[in-house]
Amino acid sequence: MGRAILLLIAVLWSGHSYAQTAFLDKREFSAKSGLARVKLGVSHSRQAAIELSVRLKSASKNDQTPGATLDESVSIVPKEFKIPPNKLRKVLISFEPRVTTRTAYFACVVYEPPVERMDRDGRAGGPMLLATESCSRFWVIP
Amino acid sequence: MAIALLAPTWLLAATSADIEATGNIPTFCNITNQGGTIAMDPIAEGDKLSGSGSYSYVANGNSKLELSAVQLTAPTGAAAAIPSIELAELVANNSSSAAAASPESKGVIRKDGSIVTSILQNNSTGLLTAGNYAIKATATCTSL
Repeated sequence: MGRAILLLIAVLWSGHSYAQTAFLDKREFSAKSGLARVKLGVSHSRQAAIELSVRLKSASKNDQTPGATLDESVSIVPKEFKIPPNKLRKVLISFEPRVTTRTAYFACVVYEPPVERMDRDGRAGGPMLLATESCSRFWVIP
Repeated sequence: MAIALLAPTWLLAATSADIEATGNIPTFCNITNQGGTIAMDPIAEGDKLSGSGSYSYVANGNSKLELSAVQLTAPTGAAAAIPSIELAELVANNSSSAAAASPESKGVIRKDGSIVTSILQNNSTGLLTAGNYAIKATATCTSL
């Protein structure tokens, strides 16, 4: 409970009105049992409830960059959900890493803006949609 | 109060306690498109659509920002054009196949800036074909 309050304070401290955030309790997880279980706290501070989705990603060309989304043998509960502002939703990611060395993974929360109809009075033009994603790196130890 | 003053030292010691408070804030980052969908309008010469918005980038530890490859939707049969997105002083990308990344923040960062987006003609007529266009991309911040 205390930790949840601290996390919410962190979200509010960020001070801006539209952010979504992924919090990890730990940064290192053991895969000794064959299964890694990663607990994630997800929140946002937009003005109304929004749809967020959670993804697990492997590392890309280096340990600093998220790469491909992992789906095989990955359980994310809940994976997509609607959440009111400044509430903390706990998410559990379970997967079978099969790693032989300390390996980087990324837990990510994504907000995709809805397409808005733009009345352009017959003029040329169009929208630019920028989805935003917040990722936290963590390590799995064999 | 008087009773407390008369109490033996060992009794006072028994009623005292150390107070210790601890807490932890995990590292995190946020990247936000503050204004939602950005409308792009043509300029008079007809060779470019442009629009602007604003972003906010916050991280309480080392982090970096990546802008995905830019997806362009253009009218059927449209002449070639180049889409681009720039998050001012952070990262820009005009590639439809590769992502672009900012340097690591190396610590706490709070940055607000403008988003500039455009579609520029890239053909011999120097014009954008008439019709509806759209640009789509993903900005990913990573807490390291």
